Amino acid sequence: MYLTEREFKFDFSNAMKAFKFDEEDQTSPCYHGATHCGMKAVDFIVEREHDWLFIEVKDYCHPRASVEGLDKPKLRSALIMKYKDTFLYRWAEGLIDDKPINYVCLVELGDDALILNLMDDLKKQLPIGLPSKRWKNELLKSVIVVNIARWSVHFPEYPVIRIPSD
Amino acid sequence: MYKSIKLEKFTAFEQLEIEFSKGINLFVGANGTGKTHILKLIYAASDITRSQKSLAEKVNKVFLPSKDQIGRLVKRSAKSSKGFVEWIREQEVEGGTLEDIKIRLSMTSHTKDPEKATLSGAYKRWTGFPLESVYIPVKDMMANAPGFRALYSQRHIHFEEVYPDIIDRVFVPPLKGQPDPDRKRILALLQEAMDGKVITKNEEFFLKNKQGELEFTLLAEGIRKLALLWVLIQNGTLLKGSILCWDEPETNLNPRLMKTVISILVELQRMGVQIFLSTHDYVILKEFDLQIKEGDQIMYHAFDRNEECGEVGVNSTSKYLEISPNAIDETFGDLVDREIQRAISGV
Repeated sequence: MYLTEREFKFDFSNAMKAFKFDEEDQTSPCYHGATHCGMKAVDFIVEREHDWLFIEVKDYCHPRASVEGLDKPKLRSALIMKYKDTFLYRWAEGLIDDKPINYVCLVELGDDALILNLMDDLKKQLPIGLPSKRWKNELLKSVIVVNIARWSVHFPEYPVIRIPSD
Repeated sequence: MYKSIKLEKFTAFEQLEIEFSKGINLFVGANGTGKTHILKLIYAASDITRSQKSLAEKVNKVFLPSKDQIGRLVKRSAKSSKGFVEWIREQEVEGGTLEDIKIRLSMTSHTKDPEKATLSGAYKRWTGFPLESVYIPVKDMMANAPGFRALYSQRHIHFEEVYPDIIDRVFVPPLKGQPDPDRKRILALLQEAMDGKVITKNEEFFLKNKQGELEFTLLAEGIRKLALLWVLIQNGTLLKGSILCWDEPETNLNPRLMKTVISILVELQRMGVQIFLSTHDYVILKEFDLQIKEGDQIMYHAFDRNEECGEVGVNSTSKYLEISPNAIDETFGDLVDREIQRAISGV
């Protein structure tokens, strides 16, 4: 089960389920169809035995990477909105279950210090776990930011390769 | 301008050769890989062109081996051995042509007296062209300047000579006339960052601004670093063709001030100062990476101890992302891994 985003090709054969969440092809059964009202979407959703992975891919080493996207506050807010809107969409689909959701942002930024900094920022701005005593359900269990090198360390079961740009 | 340095069986090194950038040279690597030793060797060979002291003597004074036995600088081994250091610099000589000048200092592990160390190569040629140089040690000395020079010259105190030397450099009187536009701009940048100018009274330094005069002992060490740069630029120690060696500029410096310090170093490089820095600091590396423009000269030299043979080697590159191994980024990588493991543990 291969999924491609920009120059990255993921092999999710070892996952229970994996699909492109922000599908723009209207003929596809996974067509998103709710972006007209400004809903954002992560790139992939992957089901594993004990959790779901919501995966967003941002490649700043890509030659066509948007300059706008390099703005850190914008990147941060885009990543946050994508998660929240995806969760809402899944709720509307009736597909939020008991499995925890881990949000994985694959951000190819080059060095690890920037990754750590972004991860700390996202942790501060997403409601991880049960932030209020009134909550019964988690919106997400954790958020992690990885680059390709760290993806390969933590998700070796889903190999990723960079495919040459056209 | 230094082109390269070569060492064999000297201090931490079995064999090492580094080719330098004519602009900025950044030494990175774990503790104990000998970065400071290279800085000291560059400085010693530069300083003697002005002081006309013996090279062996100077090397001994900046390294301070026990009982002044220069042989103790030879890499330790079970049997007696011989070590050397070789410096090559490019110098504009008579008629404006460029000439490579090479000198070599050799010694055995039994050499006690520095005078017995062997000097070879074009030593007269080397000292015939003075090279202005400065070595900024980890610890600030400006606040401790009063009386230190006198104490050092009269008593046998156990301080590497880089300490009295830096004080000597800051007491060089300002250059006559108006500074050129480049120097003026850099001085203004520093004045803005430290909010004042530096003045001296009887070997004591003060930062002077609207609030008055503040003695250096009351100033944050980070500000003293900016002040030190200000003085060295104002008095012409750091000019085109001079050498700056700086051991761990990050010490006591607020990361926010790093941007200013690095922008000044980049400017000095553009003016023609050859710079050698050792650092353990991510912000310094990243600031250089972000501030360097096309045409700037920079080399990152990564010192690394080979796990199998235990010897230190160096990899040089002009590209930040190609620094290998990058001990600083590896540390962040380890933090990222542990953070991820914590986040997804139990899943």
